[in-house]
This record gives sequence, structure tokens and C-alpha cells, in this order.
Amino acid sequence: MNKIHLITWIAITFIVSAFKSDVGSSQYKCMIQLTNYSGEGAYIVVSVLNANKEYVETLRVLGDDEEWYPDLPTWWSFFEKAGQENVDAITGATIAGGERSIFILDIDDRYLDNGHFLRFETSVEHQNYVENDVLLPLKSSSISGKFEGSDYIRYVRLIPN
Amino acid sequence: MNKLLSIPLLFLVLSGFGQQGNSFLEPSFWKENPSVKTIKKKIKEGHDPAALNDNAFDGVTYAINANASLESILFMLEQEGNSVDKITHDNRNYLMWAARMGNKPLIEHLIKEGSNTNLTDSHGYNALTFAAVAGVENMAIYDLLLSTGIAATSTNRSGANALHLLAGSMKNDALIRYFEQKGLSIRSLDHNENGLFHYAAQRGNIEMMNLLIAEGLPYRTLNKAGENAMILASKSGRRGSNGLEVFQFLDSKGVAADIVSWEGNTPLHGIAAGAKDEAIFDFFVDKGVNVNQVNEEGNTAFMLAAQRNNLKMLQKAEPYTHDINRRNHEGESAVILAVKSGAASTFEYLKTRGADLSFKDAKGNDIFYHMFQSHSKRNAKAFQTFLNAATANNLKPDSDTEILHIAVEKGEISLVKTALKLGAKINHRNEEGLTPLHLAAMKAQSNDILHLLLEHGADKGIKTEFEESAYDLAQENEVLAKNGVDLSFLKAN
Repeated sequence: MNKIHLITWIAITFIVSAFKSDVGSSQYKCMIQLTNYSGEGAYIVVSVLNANKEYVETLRVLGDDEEWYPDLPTWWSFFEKAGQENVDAITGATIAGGERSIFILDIDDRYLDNGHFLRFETSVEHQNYVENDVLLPLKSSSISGKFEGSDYIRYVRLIPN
Repeated sequence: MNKLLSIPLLFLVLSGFGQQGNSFLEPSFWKENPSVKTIKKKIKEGHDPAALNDNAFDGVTYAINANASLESILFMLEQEGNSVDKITHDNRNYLMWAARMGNKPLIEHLIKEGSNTNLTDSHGYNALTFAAVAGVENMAIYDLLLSTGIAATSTNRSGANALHLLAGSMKNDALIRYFEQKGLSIRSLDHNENGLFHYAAQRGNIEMMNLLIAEGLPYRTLNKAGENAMILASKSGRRGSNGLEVFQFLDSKGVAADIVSWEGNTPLHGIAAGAKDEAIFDFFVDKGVNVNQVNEEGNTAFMLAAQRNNLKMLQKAEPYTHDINRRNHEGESAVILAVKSGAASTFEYLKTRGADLSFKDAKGNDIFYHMFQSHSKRNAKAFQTFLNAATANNLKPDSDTEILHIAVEKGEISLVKTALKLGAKINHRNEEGLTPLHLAAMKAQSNDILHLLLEHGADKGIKTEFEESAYDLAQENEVLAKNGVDLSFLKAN
């Protein structure tokens, strides 16, 4: 590649990415704290749903063995069809009873304040699947805070990063 | 790729613990084929006929799988908490267990009682495919299951249908003809492009392989991973590994022995896991298989033998091995793989052969990290072997090691003591900013580990990045609350 082309290319990339983050997305520090249940590590998926509770985007997957993804059947039926982007970048290690995971969630601003939801679903081998362990509306007025879980999740904390 | 052909059957024997003292959760109780009278007596004594153990098996499940009398099973089913729609181990209902055992009268009863025939378990099996993978040969069972509307073409998650699943065990073509009438094809392939022949080869079923060749099936083909029947036969599953005669048979039919899959595996990688017969190793070497072939993870057969504690194959491969400290793409040598998987025999041998114990893998983890990670009650002996070897070599854990965190996570007080003896820093923070005391407060079942950490100078005043003290975390711990543990000793002054 010649030099001018390279510079132009870098400039364009730069502008595009600057533009993107302008319209952009907001970052939240997210902490998932599990109850002290006994059993295997939990598989957890964090996704954005639209107003009809249909999946829009997968934000985070805790559990790196794809063999077990079908254990989260509602998400799996979306994910399998969507043939989504490589999930490696948003995949983390599973956590077990009493443990927590801390990571950054990148939430697109266009999901805010128009009926979208954030879903945390969980599944533990030999135990049950929980579709809405945490389900919260994506509202800019209430997105940061502490949200109680209904089953394996004790609570989720979201803090603007 | 192993998992596509590996057949998820249960660890019924292993899962008898938990729910201590409940006879209904002990396989040995059901082996005696207890009468209804005995069961009633046990219930009176307080044994819970509906309780599930940690692996979600209950009394009914054990009764069905031990082939208890129909009368006893039905009596168990009548007890409160045991309805036909109860979900047990791996998301299975009683119908699936009854199908596995080919228990016709019970299946009839469960169907009549409205059991869900559409249920899929967590491995993707339904009642039909679960009967097939269990090797049920009684056609009346399949008649019954198909009559409920279950599709004959049902597959598991790998795309294996009833014929694929039966190919490992059936000895004649009766079931082939039966399922052909129901719409299955003898030439069908699973998602990985394995046909019936591949499945028969995996289980070393020579009779079936002969039959399928006579039927005109292609049998020298490769699946999607570039594996032929020889490689599939070389992999050992839960049922053990195939004998020399299986490989000789395949060879006599012109299935290549000297083959490398797209993932870089040879049959020697396969047998390194579980084969015990040295003649199998020699067979493949004679056929020209390269002992030092490296697969896509960077492992040779020698390294896999070390990992799987297969001393015989390790010793067979050693003369071909130029460097016993050779590393895979994760920076792991044979001896690291042995420590990681708790393989004491191959570890001992590699140590006597001068393997380097002062390694660090690509993530910077040392031998102590790996021995703590692989520690379990079941292989406490192997842990001791690793620990003795490391200390005899004057090795010390890294200064920022997390062995104490690992020990606390496992909840083993003896392991915590070992980590402390090895000099792990008591107030060291892990990636999440947690000290061992924080972690203990989150995961503890009782107060013993917490006390031990405090005795060794754990600082109660340290807070997490969310401003939580160990006391705060312990107060949220449901198990400590349930056990009524007084937590005031954790309060910072």
C-alpha cells in the first residue's frame, strides 16, 4: 500500500470511529453477583431486547464452551439463526455460586428510552434455566443502580463507566 | 470433535452421594429390588421419596434405571412431588428414563398419564433417540414411542438419528429395515458428515461394519473434520477403547491407517488417550504414522498420553520424542498437561526423566497454580505427588500467586492451609480486586475458613471496588444466613 493511501485510510477510519462514538454508545461497568447456590458454574447471557421482548443484540456471554449454549434455549434459538458475529470478543469465564463477574457493557444509545430491555438469563447444568433472572427497561433515568435477580443472580450492579 | 460422537450417558453410580442418608437416592438400595412394603417402611422412617440430589436424580429415576419392579416404580410415582411432568437429571422426564430402559409397561403407563413426549433433554435427545443411544433393540418400544407422534427422523444436536445411534451396538439389519420403513435412510449423515459406518467404527462394531459394507455404503470417506473411520475408532469414549482387531479389520478393508485429520490428529493422538495395548501403537507406527505429528493445538501423541495419565503410551512414544519439554500453543509441556489434569503416574515418570518443573505456561502460571486448580477431593493423592515433587525441587510459588484464592474458592480448608504454608500473601487482591477473605465471605458454607484466614492476619478493613467489606459480603451469603452463622467476628473495628 502506498503511503498516501495509508494515511487517507487511517484518517477515514479515525473519522468514522470518532463519528460512531459521537452518535454512539455508552459504557457501563457491570457486576453480576450470584447467590451462593451449590452446583456447577452458571452460563449467563446478557442481551438487548426490543419492546416486543425479541432479541436485538447479544452483549455478553459468560461460559466459553459452545456445547452448552443450547441450555439457554430462548437465546439459543435467536443466536443460532442470527449467525451472529464472532462472540469470542464478548465471552468470559463462567462463575459459580457466591462468585461475581465484572466487565464493561457497551450499550448502543439508540436502545435507550424507547422500550428496549436488558435481559440477564442463566442456566446451570443439571438444574433449571431462568429466562429472566434480571430484566430491566433501558431507560437513561434508571439504568444505573442495583437490580435484584430472581434465581441464580443475587443482584446486578450497573455503573456508568 | 470427540464430543460429537461421544455418547452422553449418565454417571448413575457416581451420583449417589448428596442428600445423605436418603435410601431412595442410593443405587444400592434399588439393586435389591425393594418391595412396596420396604418402600413404605422407608418413607415412614423419614426417607423422602421425592427428593432430588445434586445431580437432579430422584428415587423414581434410580428405581427406573435399576429396573425395579413395575409395582415399586408405580408406587414411587404416586408419592407427592413425583408427577409425570417432573424434570430430573439433564432435563429428562420419567418417560425418557423408561425409554432408555426399554420398560414397555412403564412407558405405556406414563404416556397414558400424559407424560410430555416432546421433551428434549439438555444434550438434545428426545425419548426416541435416548432409547436408541442406550441400545434398545425391542421394536415394540419404538412402535410405542412413534405412536405418540415423536418423529422417526428425530436427531440429537450433532444431527445423529436413531440409526446412527444404534450403529454402535446393533448386530443385524433388523432395526435398519425397521427404521427404513419409518423414513430413515441407511445413507444418512450427521452434521459432521459421519455416516452409520463411522458410528459403527467408533464403537468397534465389526459385525455392523461388515454388514454396511455389504449394503454398498461408502466407508473410506472423510467427515467434515477430515477424519476417516480409523481415526474415529482410535478415539476412546466412556466405554473404553477399541482393540487391535478393530484397526486390523479397517486396514484390511482399505481404510487408511496413516492419516492426518484437518485438525492435525493421527490415530496415535486418538489412542494416546486411553488404549492400553502396546501392539496398537506398534501397528500404527508400522503403517507409517508419524509419532511426532503436531495437531492444531500444538500437541503430539506423547503430550496427550501425559495428559490422560496413559503411562504405557507415554513410554511407547518417548523414544521418538526429541524434547520432553516441548510446548503446545498454550505454552504447556507434557508435564504441565499432567499436572493440569491430575495425572500422577505420567507426572512421576516425566519427573524421573528430568522434565522441567519450573515452567510457566503462556499465561504465566506456574506448577503451583496448576496443581491447586486441578485439586479435588477425588485426586488429593495426585495433588500431594505434585506438591512433594515441587518442594523437593526447592520451587516456590510466584510472589503474586493466587493459590490462596483458588483454595478458598474450592472451599477446602486443608488446601487453604497448604496455600498459607507455601507463603501465599494473605491480603493479595485478585483481578476482581478481591482478597481471599472477601472470596471466603462470598462462598463460605461455614465460618471455619474465615476464622483461619483471620488467624493468619487477614485484614477485615479492606473493601472491594464497590465499597464492600468482608462483613458486608458475608451478610449477603445465603448459605451462612441459612446455617445461622454469627458473623459479628467479621466486623472491622
